[in-house]
Amino acid sequence: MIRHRQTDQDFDDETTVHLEMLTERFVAQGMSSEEAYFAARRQFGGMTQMKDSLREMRTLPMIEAIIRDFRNACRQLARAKGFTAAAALTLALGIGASTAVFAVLDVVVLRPLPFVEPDRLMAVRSADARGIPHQLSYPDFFDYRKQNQAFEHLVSYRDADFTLTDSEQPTQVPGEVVSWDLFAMLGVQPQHGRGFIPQEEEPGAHAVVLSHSLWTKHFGGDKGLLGKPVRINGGLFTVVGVAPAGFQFPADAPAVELWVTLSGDSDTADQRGARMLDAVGRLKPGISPEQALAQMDVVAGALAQQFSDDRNSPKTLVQPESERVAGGILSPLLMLSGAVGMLLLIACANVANLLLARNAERARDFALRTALGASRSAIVRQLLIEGSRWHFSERETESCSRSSSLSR
Amino acid sequence: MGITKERSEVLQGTLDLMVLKTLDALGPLHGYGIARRLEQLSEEMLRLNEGTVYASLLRLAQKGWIHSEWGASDNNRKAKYYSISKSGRKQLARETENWERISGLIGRVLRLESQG
Repeated sequence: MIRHRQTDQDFDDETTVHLEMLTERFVAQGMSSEEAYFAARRQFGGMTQMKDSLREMRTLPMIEAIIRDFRNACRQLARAKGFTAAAALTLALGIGASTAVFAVLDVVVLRPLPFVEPDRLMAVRSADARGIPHQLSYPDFFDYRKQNQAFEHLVSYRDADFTLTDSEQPTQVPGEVVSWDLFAMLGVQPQHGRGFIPQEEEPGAHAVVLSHSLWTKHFGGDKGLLGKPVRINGGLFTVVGVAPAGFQFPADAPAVELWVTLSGDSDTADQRGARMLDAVGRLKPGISPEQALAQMDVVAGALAQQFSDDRNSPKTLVQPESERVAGGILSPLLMLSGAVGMLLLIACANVANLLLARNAERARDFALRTALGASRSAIVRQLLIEGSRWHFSERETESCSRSSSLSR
Repeated sequence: MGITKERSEVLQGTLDLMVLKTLDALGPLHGYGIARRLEQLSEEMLRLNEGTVYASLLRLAQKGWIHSEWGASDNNRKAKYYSISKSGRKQLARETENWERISGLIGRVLRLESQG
């Protein structure tokens, strides 16, 4: 648009000067200035018509050329069906595979965990002298929790199966045994009721938070259930809360239907060798993961000194929880992505080769076009358009056959 | 309009060629100057619609056969000066060669007939 205005202005300037000189010439030949004025304009010809046609000349060729190249490319595609199919298939394979893998990658790795400030959540494990991690025992966990300076909350969890014995048909559901501040740490407010309170860790306390799906499916979404007991594993548990719909903890164990406190594990609470827990903590503001690791190592080291047994845990491993969740499949997934990326590259290279081979045949064709006056840029443009056509091949072959049948 | 598309294209082509030749022979000129020289060469075509020289100049510029530059005319007016480019010279040479080949061929054919 702007270029148009500028060249219009240019043309105005040019023609003004042209007319002036023409007028002067007629005056020099003896005409009056008024006669000369009109004679000059008559000799020049229709001004507005000229401007319009010049403007057309400037814009149309480019668009026409592109349209023409596009339709030619279509016709070429239709003619070389085998070649088209091969190239389209190659590209489809490459693109399809890459898309699939990257979609998975996106969901698994690139999406953050659905908790408040998920990058501040760190998976904490104890590790042996070589740094190889293993699970924690309750005594270790309690000591970590009490002695650490790095975490606002440190929560333990372990998988367990529970049997709901309230109806005639006992139902087995997977559950999670957690320390009291799970929901507080995650920043998740139960949809009904509340999370746990510290007292509910005491032996003899039986509190349960139900998952939303369990509450709706098994208990009929009964809001009156809050504060009431339900029979689990033959004992009575008070329903203190219902988790929000879609809530999952741990993030890599989606089927968990209820959460109870560790009060039921009082028999293992003092067995330092019973390593059955995982832990996750929220970093205090201003603490970095590296600082947390260093701090926890100090704690673990001190504990190891204090309680030396043959299975020491003098170190810890602190890593982002999101990494741990993705961790199992992260490496193979990244490798797969790399492989698929290469696949796409190879697919493109193959198509490029195919095109190159075909265009070698057309060398004579191009020589002829050049002799007839096609500039190099016109030929390059034709090839670029042909090349880009491949990417839309599948859908386009339909519209192509439609348009070529119309032009006939 | 009276004139068919092919004919007008041929005329356009001829005009373009004359403009190109003019620039080649006489060096950089502005639109008015070219029009004056062409008037001398072909009274018929440019008696009216002298402005078509600008259409011709645009075609030549689009093909890259001429360059343009703003400059000052004799009377110190701002005018655009056109000059032939390297590819323009090549084109001219091609056209000249073409024309000479064709005219040579026709010449031979005509000589042939008169001998018979």
